[in-house]
Amino acid sequence: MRTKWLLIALPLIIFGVLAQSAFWVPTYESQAKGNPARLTTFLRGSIGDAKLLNPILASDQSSAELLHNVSEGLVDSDENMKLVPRLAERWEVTEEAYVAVLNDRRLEGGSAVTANGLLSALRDAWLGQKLGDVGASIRSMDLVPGELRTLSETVLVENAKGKKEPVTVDMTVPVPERVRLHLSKVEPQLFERLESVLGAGYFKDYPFADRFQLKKPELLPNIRDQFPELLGVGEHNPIITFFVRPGVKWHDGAPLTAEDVKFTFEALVDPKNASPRSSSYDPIKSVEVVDTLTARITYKRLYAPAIIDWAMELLPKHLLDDAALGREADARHITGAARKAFTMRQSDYNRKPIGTGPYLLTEWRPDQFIRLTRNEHYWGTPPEYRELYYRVIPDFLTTELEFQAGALDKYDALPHQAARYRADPEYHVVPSREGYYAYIGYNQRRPLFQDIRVRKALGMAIDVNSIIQYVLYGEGKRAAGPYYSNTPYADPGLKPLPYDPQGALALLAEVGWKKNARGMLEKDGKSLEFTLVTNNGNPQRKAIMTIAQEAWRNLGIDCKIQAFEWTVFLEDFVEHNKFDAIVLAWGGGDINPDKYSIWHSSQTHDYELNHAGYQNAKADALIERIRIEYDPERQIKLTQELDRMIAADQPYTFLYEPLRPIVLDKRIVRVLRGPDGKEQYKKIETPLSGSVEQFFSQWRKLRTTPEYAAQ
Amino acid sequence: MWRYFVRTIAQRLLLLLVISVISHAVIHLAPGEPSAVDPMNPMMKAADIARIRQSFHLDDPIYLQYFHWIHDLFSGQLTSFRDGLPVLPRIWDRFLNSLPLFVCTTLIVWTASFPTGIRAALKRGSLFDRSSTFIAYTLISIPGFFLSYLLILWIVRSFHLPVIGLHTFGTEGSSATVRFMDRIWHLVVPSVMAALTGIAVLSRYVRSQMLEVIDQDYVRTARAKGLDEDTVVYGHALRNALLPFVTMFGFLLPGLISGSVIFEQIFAWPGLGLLGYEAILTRDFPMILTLNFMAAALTLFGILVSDILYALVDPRIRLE
Repeated sequence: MRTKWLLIALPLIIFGVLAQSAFWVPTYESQAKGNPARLTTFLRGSIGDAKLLNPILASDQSSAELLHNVSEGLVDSDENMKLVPRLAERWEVTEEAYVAVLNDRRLEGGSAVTANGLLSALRDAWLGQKLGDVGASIRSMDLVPGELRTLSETVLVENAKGKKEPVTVDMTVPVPERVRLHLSKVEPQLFERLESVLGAGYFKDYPFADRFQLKKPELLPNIRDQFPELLGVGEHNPIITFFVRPGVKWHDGAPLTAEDVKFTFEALVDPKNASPRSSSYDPIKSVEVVDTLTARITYKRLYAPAIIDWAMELLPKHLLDDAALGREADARHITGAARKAFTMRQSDYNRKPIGTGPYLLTEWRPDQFIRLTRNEHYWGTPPEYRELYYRVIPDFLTTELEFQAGALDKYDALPHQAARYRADPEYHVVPSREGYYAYIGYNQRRPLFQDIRVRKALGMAIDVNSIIQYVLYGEGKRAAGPYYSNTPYADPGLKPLPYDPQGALALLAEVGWKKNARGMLEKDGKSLEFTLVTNNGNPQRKAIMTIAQEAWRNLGIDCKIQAFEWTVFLEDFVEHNKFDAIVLAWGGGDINPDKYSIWHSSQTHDYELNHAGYQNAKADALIERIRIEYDPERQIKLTQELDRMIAADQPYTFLYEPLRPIVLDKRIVRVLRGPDGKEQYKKIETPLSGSVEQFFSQWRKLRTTPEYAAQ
Repeated sequence: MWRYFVRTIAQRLLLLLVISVISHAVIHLAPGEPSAVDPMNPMMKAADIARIRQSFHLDDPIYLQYFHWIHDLFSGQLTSFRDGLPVLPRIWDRFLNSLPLFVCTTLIVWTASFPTGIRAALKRGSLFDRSSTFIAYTLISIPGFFLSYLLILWIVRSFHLPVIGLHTFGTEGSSATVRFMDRIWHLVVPSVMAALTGIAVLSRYVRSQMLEVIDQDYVRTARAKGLDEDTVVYGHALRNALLPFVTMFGFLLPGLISGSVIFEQIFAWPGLGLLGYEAILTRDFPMILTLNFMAAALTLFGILVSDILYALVDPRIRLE
């Protein structure tokens, strides 16, 4: 009897206890009302928690986004994607160039080359104005005595099992006596000009190849190709001098100095730290501290995009150098093997970063939220919002519900959701750029795709505009070439491939593909067939794949489609270039004009990124020129030419650059202050850079929806 | 008895070793690399990628990698590929989050299933029996995530109550009672959702067990003795019907580790299931392997517990 009642009562009691808790919970309304702090707090959702809050080590989106509020770099890009000073007040780009004295050569006049002879010949030409506009940039020249240069480079060497391993090659090379030229700006054409004095071909032949002494001579074949880069007859050493903004303080009160710049560089390239960004800093020869606020960065070779990399957030030396890490290890009682392996990666700094930025990290509840509080001692204009929360909500639907309930201030809507928010008077939808473009890439190692007409025909068969309309719900821009359409590098006049299935058929017929009895295209008894692959988990790419298949079938092309899990897709298809065609995207819609790794013909091997195997000698030359062109206007001319050239070759069918509709409460506005101190409200808009939050520091939430001043 | 324990524990330790070797091999041989190794980053040189792989020992022979892992695991030095933080404290934190959800779900499942199942068995063929069967199969067939979304929508829209996360965001300043009740409330919805399928399955199981014993001779004898119906049902029939359920308790244990990925994801509940899922996506080998190892250990331990429980409640069984 008792058992019976117990069985019935127990669940009821449990349910009762659980259900009554609902009455204690504050409703969304009560959370918002009577809470003035809510207006100065900005809540944002994040699909995943930040992993590692160290700018040089972070490799995930959440960490990078959050760090942007806490730490700062020397330079930054503004709303028009122009580089602007941030922690550097300004910078100067100059050059030191070296010309080796080659004793076995003869000067143009016929006399043998000697150190002093070379110097005076160059000086005469310079002072005699025989060097043209290059001569105008030369400030002085002098002789540098010969020296023994010690070098250490990392190369990939195949081990006994045929696997590639990184090996460090240590070597020395005697550097001959050289003439040093100081230039007021970088002159990529300097050596070509000097040949009029030194004789044609002075820089062409390479006399130093057998002077390198390797510690392990068996590695010679692996490094030989790099010799001209390690010691050239002529050597360009571009120099960037940063003048650090005075009076900037780290969050802990210590002043920011040029030492921090030097330290950040050293940390980036230190193999112990295994920074995923170290490759970008490889062209740097040295970073010197000229005085407390001046850092001088010397590059090994011409590399025009170098300055962009100084948008990298700086690290505080006083908290992370060896002495500081040692103190931390002591305080945490780390001993033995763990002590030896203790690096910046293990430091507590990564959980509570100290930067110079507008916000300080004040609380981190793992997998729940991260709280940032306004830095009241910020050197720049302090942001409007006092607090900033990153809430971890792994699910899209619950994120949206939280946003609608007012527990999030910003919602990154999916394209299909944007329309309903656009119709809602409470919300404001601002499209931001996702920063990538989607494409169908054709493997040009396959004979089928070597003919440009085939690639073009395949592209013309696909109605990209309707993909944008139906797959992206209109939230996308048509892509035409390899540069993002909002950057100055893209040719604004470049037209995307037209949608023209009849034209496509005509092109294919030109190549010899004719329809057979079954209505399929055939050439020499073989039908036109290939496989299109992409990764699973991306519905848009799958939709593109199906649309392309259908479009091509209508032409009589037999295309098979397959989707694989991301890592499988990369390993089995992309990395070894074993595919016919892929649907994929290139991200990092950034301000870097350098397209070497994606389009240069030297980058077509396994694990390299020119997956399509695109080869065009003219494009190669352009890509190389763009890398060393320091003049922004000339560089843009070159990139636009490259944009046109690659678009004309159609190694990819360039599809679209997607937009991400950001939904905000209408009461959130941008506050501008006039010269008289009067505030003016401005609607939040998308700048050219595509980043809606470019002016986040000026955002404010008002009590009521404002009337905007006439614009 | 003691010999049994020694033997069975030794056997299970050996089995655990085999499991760890096999699972290590399977996870390493499966395609995919840790996400820190980003082959699609145009700014990364091949040599640097290789260096990162080396720092994770990814180029060592697989048996060496196994020893690295076991050594680091048992010396407590195992760190995640993801953020370089020690793995064990992280698992412990997440375990503490998962535990209340697990306990609450189990409590709901086990208390709700018995009365429903018993009643359905006693009133076999009645409206209650048929409708509970129908509801049970409906609950089993509707995906849990779909029901959860509907429930969340309903609660948020009609009651304006927050349901996701461990607690309501921004209640740090409230009184201890409010905070406690708030945490309970945040447990309710996910654990009810996670319990629904469990109730459906377990109540069907209870029903069939009851039906089996209710027709047995000893139940008829009890009735013939003139005992009242409740004593017959709860004193004689139920006790025997309970036997198989005792063993099921042991099998619950591994559920602690596997957690519930779907519900943890939907309700933003930072538990072990979500931890494992994220680890798999980022190929965080140390984390996956350790969770896997613990799940295996708990499963083996759970089976042992079942065996013991069974021997305790059923005098016909002896552990030897």
